[in-house]
Parts: sequence; structure tokens; C-alpha cells
Amino acid sequence: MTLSSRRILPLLLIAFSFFILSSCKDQSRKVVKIGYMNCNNEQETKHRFVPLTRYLSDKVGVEFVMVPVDTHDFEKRFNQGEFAFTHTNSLIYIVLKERKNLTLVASEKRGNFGSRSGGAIIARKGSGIEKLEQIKGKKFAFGPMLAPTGYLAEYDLMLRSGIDPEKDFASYTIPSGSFKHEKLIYGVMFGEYDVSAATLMDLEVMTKEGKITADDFTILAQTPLIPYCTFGAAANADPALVEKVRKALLELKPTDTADVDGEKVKVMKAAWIDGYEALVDKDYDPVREMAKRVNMPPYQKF
Amino acid sequence: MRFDRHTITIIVSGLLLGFFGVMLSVWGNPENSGICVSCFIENSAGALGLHNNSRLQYLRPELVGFVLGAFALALSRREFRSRGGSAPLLRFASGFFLIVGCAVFIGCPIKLFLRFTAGDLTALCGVAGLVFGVWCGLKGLAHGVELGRLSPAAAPKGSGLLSPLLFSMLLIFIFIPPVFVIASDKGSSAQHAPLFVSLAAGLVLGAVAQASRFCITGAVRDVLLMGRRAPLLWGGGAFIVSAFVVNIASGRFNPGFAGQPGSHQEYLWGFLGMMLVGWLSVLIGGCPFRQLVKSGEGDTDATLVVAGMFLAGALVQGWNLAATSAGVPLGGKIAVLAGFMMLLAVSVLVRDRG
Amino acid sequence: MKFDRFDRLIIVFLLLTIVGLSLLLSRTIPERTTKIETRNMERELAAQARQALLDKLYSPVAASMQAGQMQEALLKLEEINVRYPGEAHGFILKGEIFDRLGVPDKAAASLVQGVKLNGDYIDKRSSVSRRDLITRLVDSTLPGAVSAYRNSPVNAVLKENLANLNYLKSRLAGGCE
Repeated sequence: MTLSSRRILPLLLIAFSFFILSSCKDQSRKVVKIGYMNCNNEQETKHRFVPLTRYLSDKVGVEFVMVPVDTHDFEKRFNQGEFAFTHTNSLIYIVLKERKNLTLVASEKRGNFGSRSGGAIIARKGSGIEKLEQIKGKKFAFGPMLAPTGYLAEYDLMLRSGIDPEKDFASYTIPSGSFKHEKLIYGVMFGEYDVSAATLMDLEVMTKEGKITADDFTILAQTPLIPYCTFGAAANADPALVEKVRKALLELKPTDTADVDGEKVKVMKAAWIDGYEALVDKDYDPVREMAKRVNMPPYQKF
Repeated sequence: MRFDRHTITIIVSGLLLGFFGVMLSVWGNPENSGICVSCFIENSAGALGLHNNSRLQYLRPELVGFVLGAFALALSRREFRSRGGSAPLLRFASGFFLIVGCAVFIGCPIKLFLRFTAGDLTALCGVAGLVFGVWCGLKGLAHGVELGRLSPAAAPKGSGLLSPLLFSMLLIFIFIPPVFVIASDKGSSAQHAPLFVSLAAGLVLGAVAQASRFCITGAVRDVLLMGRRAPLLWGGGAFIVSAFVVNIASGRFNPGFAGQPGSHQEYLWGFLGMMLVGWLSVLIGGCPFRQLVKSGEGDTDATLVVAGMFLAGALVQGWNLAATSAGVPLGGKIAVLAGFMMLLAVSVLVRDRG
Repeated sequence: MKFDRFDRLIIVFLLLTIVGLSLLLSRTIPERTTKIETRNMERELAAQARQALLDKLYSPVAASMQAGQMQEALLKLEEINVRYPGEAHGFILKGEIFDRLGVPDKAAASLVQGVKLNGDYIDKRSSVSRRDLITRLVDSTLPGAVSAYRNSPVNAVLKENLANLNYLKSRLAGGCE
């Protein structure tokens, strides 16, 4: 059987149209950007959250683009309208909530305490520092200044315990560069600092990974548990889209995968998370109270 | 309405079943499980070393009592007759799936109503499932799906004694336990009423059930067939009223859906488990309790059902098919569907189209 | 029924077998008693050995808990859990720690895992029983969990917490397992 050119031509045209239409599919989708706060560095942020962003695109039907953002630039770039959705720590969330009426989308679950975490004040075991009151006059190290459980919560804890970090230490410092939280813990372990703030999450993860043991440190005090990483949406974001994103996050399961560079990647495993939870804004009040007591944004008074 | 002697016997059976069903819990059996044939069989299978769940191993004297009580009364009334010979393998498999259905629901039809009368509202799904299953079975019967009639000629003389003899052996095991008989010292099998109380209750219930032919699924079946004229309706009613009153009187009535003893909230699977039990019970002529009683009367077909029930009692534990308060395991769901597959295949292949 | 010679012969052999069996059984009774006692002792030994091993294995955790160092106890538990991730005792201790840290939903989740793995922890008479802790936890948090779930029925976390507490309540209520 032979096909004449008059029959082949329309078939080819139809096939070509399908090809063109299918390649246009992604371009026709609405593009929405999500700003992800860098925890340690941009590369790590990308590695963790590209699969999650791809998952959201697949679930919501919108082309989400991830934007890694340094903590200190976050508010400025958000104000410039660079991204409509945010993934930040709880302190940045309340800053944007107070100043730009950010909408709470979902709270991240990770580690022993789920959607909440806390901080601790640690000293090296055998250093002779056994109680919180003994830290006066010592060399102290905090985590990054906008870290809720690496700085804010510990600072607040000390103030409530009658210790003024500005006056009562021989010196205090914040390590520079990436992996600041881990540097604090190693700093105490190897004697660079006498005492430091440490997030419970880092202590838990480093213990699990065998980097440290529970016997390396004395935990002098522990802060209350507060919400941690949080997804937010700009006040002018489409409410229907916000709802879809919330639903997709809350429905995220350990078995969900996303295509990244031709590979199927497990979303939760890549992002180091255990899922999302629907907290309400009131759940963030303990962070607000801490920020007020420590005189930090968004309640800072000069 | 005038009650004849048989109806009164049925009512007495129902009253006693309700009374002992609750009181055995008061005397030490697990909550809402004063009488539960499927649980007792799982416990007894474990006690004989057929599974290794160390929390579910106890040779339940009630079980022995049911068979020997029925045997003694059948003998005294000259009703003991060796009979059987119809579709033995299908009956064995049916016995197996009876216990699978019960294990997925957590309880036999007697326990279903004991749970319900203690306020466990999750049992409602089981009630619905049981009634629907019996209705399906009746539809099957109406269309010629039956395993054949029992025949004294088909069973060798004396073969009906096998079950009473085996249960007599278990009775000896209860009083003089051999080394291989295990008794849990923890878990629900460590909870039991005093031995003589359990045995006496079992003997009484086995005897009255033999006299009255009382059976839960039989009651449902007769009500569906005859409505209010069914004598077993009075027996079923007496059982429910009696259990309800004793539950209230003993402070065991706690109505609610959540947190009930030995129950889960997977309603669909609870429904399907009991539906399977109801349907199978119509096909083989009685619920698990009735099968025990019939095996005591010399019915070798019922004895094969009981053998299938014991195998299932071991395997639902060994293969993790049994539901718990946490829900129904995947294996249990698969086993229930396998049971339905068998029923449906039987309905097509065994159907008398004449 | 008439018995012929063959029947009588069979009946005699049957009676002889019964007598033989009885003799055999009567002779094995002392041996049986010894074996049962030995088995019971072995069971007791296994239980005590398990208890001793758990006590030894988890002693650093217990020491930290006793000293009120809950976070330290949790970290020590993490270390042990790397080697024995499926051990019920680890989940139970974690539940206790969460309870003492004031995180009841996490406490319930851990206790559920522990009880599912080993029902001894909810038994009244067991030496490892945590029935009192579980009862207190369920009594104090279930009403709040019910109302929280009713206020937000789509919240999967609240739903899971309620399911956990109901599971524990069901296990406390008893019944067949």
C-alpha cells in the first residue's frame, strides 16, 4: 500500500502542530517565584529545594521558580516584589507578617519536635561549666543574628535568667561564613569558645550522623519550643493559588518524587524535612514575645 | 403471641449467652470478649504452639465446653448422629475464611453484639456487614448455591465422635498441660475467668445451644426469611437485651466510636469482614459458635469447618492478618478479598442450575 | 449390635492400648512437671535477660532523665537508636522524655510506636509497664485533641494526634489484641 503526498502532507502538519503545542505547554503556564532563605549557602538551598519547587509546580499547575536569598537581603528583595512566596525561618516570617501582612501558608516539620524546634546553651563536658550561672565571664558564641533558635531564643533565655549577653561575657562572637550553626558546636567541642548557643536540630542531626556524641557536651539550658521554617505568601497573592500551595504542602508524603535533571528525586528526603503542618499565626506568638524582649525586628526600638 | 417450648428454649439460650458473654469479662476475660469464638480459637491455636504471638496463647476452656456440652446433651437426647460428607474441602476453606473475616473485624458475631451492647458504636459497621452478608448468602441459596445436604450415610459410623474426642483431649490438656501447651503470662490471653467458671459456662452454653439450635447468623437469616414469625428473632432479641442489661448493671456500658476496647475505626473493612462471615455462615449453615456445637453433635462437616477455623486461628497471627486497635493490616485486607473471591467462585461453580 | 471374634480382638487391643498409654503418661508426669518448670524458668530468664540488657543499654538515657537533663537524654537516645532503631523501649523512653518536655503530641506518637511493637508497656502487671504514664497522657490531652480536631478537621497533624490518642485509649480499655 502506498500513500500519496496529498495524504501525507496533512498528517505531517497535524503531527507538527502537536509537537509545537506540546513544547509550548510549559511556557504557557503562569510563572511564580518562591524566595528560599539560605540556611548555610546557596548551593545547599538549591540542592534541598529544587525538588520541592518542582513538586509544587506539578501539583499546583503553576511554573514555580526557586530564588535562593541571603537572610539579610530577604526583606529588601521581598519588598521589591522579586518573589510572591517565601520560605523563611519564623523570625523573618513575623517580620514580613508585621510589615507586609505576609500570609501564613504552612509550617515545616523536621526532627524530634516536628513543626517546632528550640535552642540550647552548651558547654564542653569536663570544662567545669555545669550550670547556666557559670557562663558569666566566659567566651560565648551565637548563631546568625536572625536565627530564631541559634540566637533569638538563647539570647531571650539568658535575659530571663538574669544574664546580659552584652555585659556578662568576656567576649561574644558570631562565626562568619557558611555552616555557622555547625561551627558553633565544633567551636565548643574544640575549645574555641567556652559556651555557645546551639540549635536542637543541629545537635540532633550531628548526633545521628555520628559527628558528635551526647557525652561531648553539657546542655546548660534549653529554650522553649517555637515554630521554625515557614512558607508564606505575599498579601496580594491569588488566594486560590495560596490555598492550592498549602494543600500541596500538607499532602506531601515521603514517597512523593519530582523530576530533577532527568532523575526522580524524593522530595522530602532531598529537602531534609518530615512534611508540613497547618499552624495558625497565633502559634508564632512565642517568637513575637521573644523578639520584643530581645529588642529585635520587627519590634526593635532604638 | 404464644411461645412454644422450642421458642422458650431459644429465648433461654439468648438470655444465657448475653449473661455469660458479659459476665465472663467481669470474671476475668478481656473486655467485650467474654465470649468470642474467633478470639478463643486464636488463643487456643497459640496455646497448642501453632503460632508464636506470646500474648495470645491460652487454651480457652469455654471452647472445650461448647463442644462437650453440645455432645453431652446430644447424647442424652439421642440426637447424636455421625453425619457429613458434603463438600469437605470447601467447608474447611470456609472455616478458614470465617476466622479471617472475624479477625479483620476483631470478633465473631457473638462478640460483635457484645461490643455493640457495651456501647462500641464501631460495631455498627459489623452489624450492617453481617446482615448484608447473610442477605447475600440467602440470595445465593435462592439461586441454587449450596454445598449439598448432610447425609448420615456419607459419614462413616462413629466418625462424628472425632470432634468430641479431640476436645476431650484438649480438656485433659487444660488440667494436665503437656510440655508443648503454652499459656501466656501477659497480654489479653493472660486475662481469663477462673478455669472452672469458664468451663462451666462453656458447657452450659454448648448444651443450651444444642437444644435450641441458637445461632447469631441463623437468627439474622430467619428474620430475613420469616420476619417476626422467626423464633430465633426472640433468641437474638433476648441475647441483645440480656447483654445490654448486664453491661449496664456491671458498669461496662461506655457509648462511643473512639477508643473502644479491641476495636478499630476502619469501618469499610469491619463491614467487609463481617459480610464475609455472614455470607459464609449461610453457605455452611451457621456461625463459628454453631459450627462448634454441630461438631459436638456428630456433624463431621462442621468438624472440618472447625479444623479450618483452627488453621486460620494460627495463620491470622502468624501471617499478621488480624486487625488490631491500630487498624487492619494489608495482609488482612488481601485475605478478606481472597475470601470473597472464593465465595464468588463457589457461587458460580457449585451452583445447582437444575 | 453383635460383636464377633474379630471385634472382640480389636476391643481387647484398644483397651490394651489405652492401658499402655495411661501407664506411659503416668510415668512421664514427673518428667513433664520438670520440663514445664524448666520452660517457665527459661521464659523468666529470657524476660529478665531482656530487662537487664535494656537497662544496661539505655542506662545513659535513664541517668540523664533522672538528672532532669531531658535534652541530653534525647541525644543519647538518638545515639542508641542508630544501632537499635526498631526497639520498642527506645520509643517508650522517647515518649517519656517528650512528655516531660511538655510536648504531648510527640509523646503520644512515640508511645504508640512503642506499644505497637511491644504490648507489655501497656499491661498492668508487666515489669516494664508505662500504663500510668499513658493513662495520664490520654486523660489530660484527649479532650483538647478532640476539640482541636473539630475546629480544624482538615489538619492532618491534629487528625494523626487524635488517632494516636484513641489508639492508646483503646489499648488501655483492653479487649482482645
